[in-house]
Amino acid sequence: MHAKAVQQKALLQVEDWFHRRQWQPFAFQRQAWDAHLQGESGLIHAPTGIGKTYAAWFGAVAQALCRAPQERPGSPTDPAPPLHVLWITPLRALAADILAALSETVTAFRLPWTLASRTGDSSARVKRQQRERLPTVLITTPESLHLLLSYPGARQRFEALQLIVVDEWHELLGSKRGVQVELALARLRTWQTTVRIWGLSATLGNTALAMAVLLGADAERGRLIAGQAPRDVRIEALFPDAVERFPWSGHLGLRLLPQVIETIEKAATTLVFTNTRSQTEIWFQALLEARPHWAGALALHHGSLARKERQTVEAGLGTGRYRAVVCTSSLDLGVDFAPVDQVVQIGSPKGIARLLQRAGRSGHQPGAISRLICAPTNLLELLEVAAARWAVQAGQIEPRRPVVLPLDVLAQYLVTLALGDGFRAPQLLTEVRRTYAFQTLSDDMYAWVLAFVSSGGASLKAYPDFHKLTRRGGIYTAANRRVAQRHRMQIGTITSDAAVLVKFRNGRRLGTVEERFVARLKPGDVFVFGGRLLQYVRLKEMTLFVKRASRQKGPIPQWLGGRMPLSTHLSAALRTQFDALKRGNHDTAESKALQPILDLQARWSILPGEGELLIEVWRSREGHHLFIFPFEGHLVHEGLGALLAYRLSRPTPLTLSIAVNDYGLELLSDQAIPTAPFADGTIFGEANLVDDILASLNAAEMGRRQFREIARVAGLVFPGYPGRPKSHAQVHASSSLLYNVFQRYEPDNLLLEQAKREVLAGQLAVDRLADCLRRMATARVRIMETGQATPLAFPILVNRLRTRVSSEKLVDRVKRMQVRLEKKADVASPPDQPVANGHTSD
Amino acid sequence: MATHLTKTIAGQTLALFAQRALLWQEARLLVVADAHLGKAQVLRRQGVPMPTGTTAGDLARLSALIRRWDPQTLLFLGDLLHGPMGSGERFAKQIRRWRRRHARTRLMLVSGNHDRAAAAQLQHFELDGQTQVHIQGPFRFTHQPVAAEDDRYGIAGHLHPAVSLRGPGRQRETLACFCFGRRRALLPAFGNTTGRYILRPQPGDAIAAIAGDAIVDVTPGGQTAG
Repeated sequence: MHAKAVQQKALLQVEDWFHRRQWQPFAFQRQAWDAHLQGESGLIHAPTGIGKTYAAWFGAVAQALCRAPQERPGSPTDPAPPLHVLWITPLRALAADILAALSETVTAFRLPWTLASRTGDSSARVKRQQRERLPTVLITTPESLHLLLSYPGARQRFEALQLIVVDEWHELLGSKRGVQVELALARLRTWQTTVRIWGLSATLGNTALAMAVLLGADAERGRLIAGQAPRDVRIEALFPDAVERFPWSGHLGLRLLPQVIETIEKAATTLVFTNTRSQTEIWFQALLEARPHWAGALALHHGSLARKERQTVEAGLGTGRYRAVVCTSSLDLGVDFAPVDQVVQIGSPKGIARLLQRAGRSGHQPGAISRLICAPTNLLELLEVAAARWAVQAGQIEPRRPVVLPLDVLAQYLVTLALGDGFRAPQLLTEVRRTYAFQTLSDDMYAWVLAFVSSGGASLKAYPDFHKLTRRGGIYTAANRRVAQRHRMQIGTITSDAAVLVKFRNGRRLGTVEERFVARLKPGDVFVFGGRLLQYVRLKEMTLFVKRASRQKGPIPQWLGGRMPLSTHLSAALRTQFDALKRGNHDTAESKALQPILDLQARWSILPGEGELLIEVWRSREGHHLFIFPFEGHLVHEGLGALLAYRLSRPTPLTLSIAVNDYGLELLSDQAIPTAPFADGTIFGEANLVDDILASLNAAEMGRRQFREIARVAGLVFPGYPGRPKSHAQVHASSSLLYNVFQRYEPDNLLLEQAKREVLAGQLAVDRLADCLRRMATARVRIMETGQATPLAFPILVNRLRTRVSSEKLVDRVKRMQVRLEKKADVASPPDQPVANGHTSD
Repeated sequence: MATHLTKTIAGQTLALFAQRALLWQEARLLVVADAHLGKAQVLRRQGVPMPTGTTAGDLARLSALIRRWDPQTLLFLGDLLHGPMGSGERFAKQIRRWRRRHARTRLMLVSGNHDRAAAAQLQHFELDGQTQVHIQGPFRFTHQPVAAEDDRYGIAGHLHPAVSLRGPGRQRETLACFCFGRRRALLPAFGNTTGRYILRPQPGDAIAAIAGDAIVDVTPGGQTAG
């Protein structure tokens, strides 16, 4: 039979499978299958729940069906074919779902394939077996894929690969895990040049770039396939009864609990999305307390829960067992499960793409409307809801910026490959440069990283006591077994801080919490986790044994990475909202509800309009406050704050503490802050911008925080062995110690440079900062002296996370300071103002 | 800017230096706690690419103190070395060269928990004595703070004390410090690669914080440390 006819026959079989389920393949799915059969690679983008999984998958199935029956091993005793399909997913929680969905079709088509997943959750036995022979279809995470590359014989195991699917590429893009994927893809493509690579992504503002990053040097031949047009999304807000008593800041607040309960009661199934894992626990507890008879019909889902716990919930979602599931982003990704009736978002969604993704979890019937109901936790979030609705209508979706030149990831990767079959430096350089992230990697940088992992870096050439890699016959391999063992432990650490396993005394795993949280507890203490009240029994190494608690209340763990900045697009939409309010345009329900507070802002200060820059100056017992409201999102504000503080403190010795949120920033000093440079705009000048940014970066020590992650990824700090782990606090070299030592003894260390570069890319992107400065320089500056913190200023005031810029001598500052006797001071609420709802920030 | 403060205990004069050392003037005894020399070498063996110069930096600081104050005895208050460092030939050479330069100074060590693991390297210091407790005059020198057995005033290290300071305008700073209590004192860690432990000072504690090149009395309530 003609090849084309064979393909058509295979595709018809796939179509039949759809028809038997009363489904109709979408046009984009057919396009994707054809493209696969033509040997093409590319990116499929569509909202969640639209069928991207099948679009990518059935190409490979059709390819298998094309082969003549006698070529397909028929007897069940024949060994299954080697690895054909590699499915990479960012969340290990999703691997099980995908496995189930794909297994079903393999059975239906009677393909002699084996399927398995491999994640951090897999048992040691499964991992060992997979080192021998991989299944035909393997579902894995970027970290686990790198682990597979770290064992000898990897090339042989991946040689028969036909398809690589990178699921949820939008989640990986813009993170170092995405770079891990890029590197692995480059390697696999070197081994098997005909392999097809398909990325699955939500629609982004820069979808074409997303594909370019995925495919690297092969991007030109990539194929971009757009899924179904997004469903109509309707965004509504829940309103407090009395806006005057609604908190001005905070993000954990339960003030709208009655309204949320009422909403849940109106529908059969609801997903309640929160922005942090702690918030998930808090809301779950509160719902259960208010409606005890919902026990059993209410579930909780977040990434720190043990796999079994998550699976129970995921399975229950399909059967309609739950009235409501409280969850984090662990459920806005993933394969299609039965859609729920409605989606509730607690707090601001912080981004438009995320909001669309979450809304997509409801109303999956074709033509149905996705409903998203927002429950703000503070007043200004109410305005963010209106801003988000406006942005969705205007079709604005954020882009994701890819990570460029993360040398820490490269350092980790070189050791990974050395552990396996080793590598030759020149060949690997060529391969690595085929990725988007390292296309501009210079010879010098590569040589530095290579020296860094093999001999310990430029200044360590002569040190025999440092060795990770050795070179023999031009091939770099691991120096010894200990290096290998330690490194494999480290590969998974891009995302996680030291985690303590939570177990019942009978051994049942509940999940993990961060060590920082456990450190604050002592035996007998009660805390909330996984929707349960648990009592601390004992801590043995890195396992916390617990039992059910009889008491009613306890603290809730905080996990790092909880804070989400407002996206640039949403910030811009918010500026538009304010301008509309200023002009008295109250066409949204949200702005009507906010009227009393906006009046208060106008009375105590002003409402900033388009073309105006509001600066509020206030003297309190704490010192001199200067608030500026550029509405650029908190990442830009951090950089801007450091820059302004640096420029202010240059002419005279001055110490400023900086706090930011998504709307503005605060400069606080014990001495008066000059306002003249703001009034005449000189402080916003673009002269010496780059130099000043770099100087302010050092002054605010912003690189220090970034270095923490870099040190972990590059293997400078070690999390410990399982079974005999070190307490994280006792890890021999803490990242801040290393930062100081490098600053002093090896200031040109490229990882320090990278820390700065990451801050520059994240916060201080010169072009964005220059845009912002230009806007402020041409704006009409309105400096208002206020008698108190205004509704706009208050949320920044209570932010405890602060950085500092100082031009004073340390000793002079210390002379004015006092020993802290108590652990922390309470943030007093200014008179006449509602109390912030307990939690000021993460 | 003060580079040292003085403190009188039991009629004896103790000078506290910003270089994180203490000099008992009457006895011409220089005391240094928790130097943790060789920490970089230990970390390198574990695969951490520590830059060079940390040991040399610490030794140079010690040399400067010895040259300036010419003590009869230099007493290491435990954790002189950080841990086992393999052959450490280069390190050994460094130490021996340093020791020759200060051959006139008596070197004493009160053993710390880290020193046990690094016993092989200790020989390069050619110590004049090594004990668990050093008792001299009204003082008892130990590595870890111990409960008092008699009227002697205890001086110890081990904890790497630091103090957290707050100032107007929400300023905060955490600095290594000396802490003088009623019955005993804690010395800051000397090594430049050491971590720190934040103290919660008790009422009556006199605190001297190290701010860069200077030392500042930050005793709560404002009593002087002198």
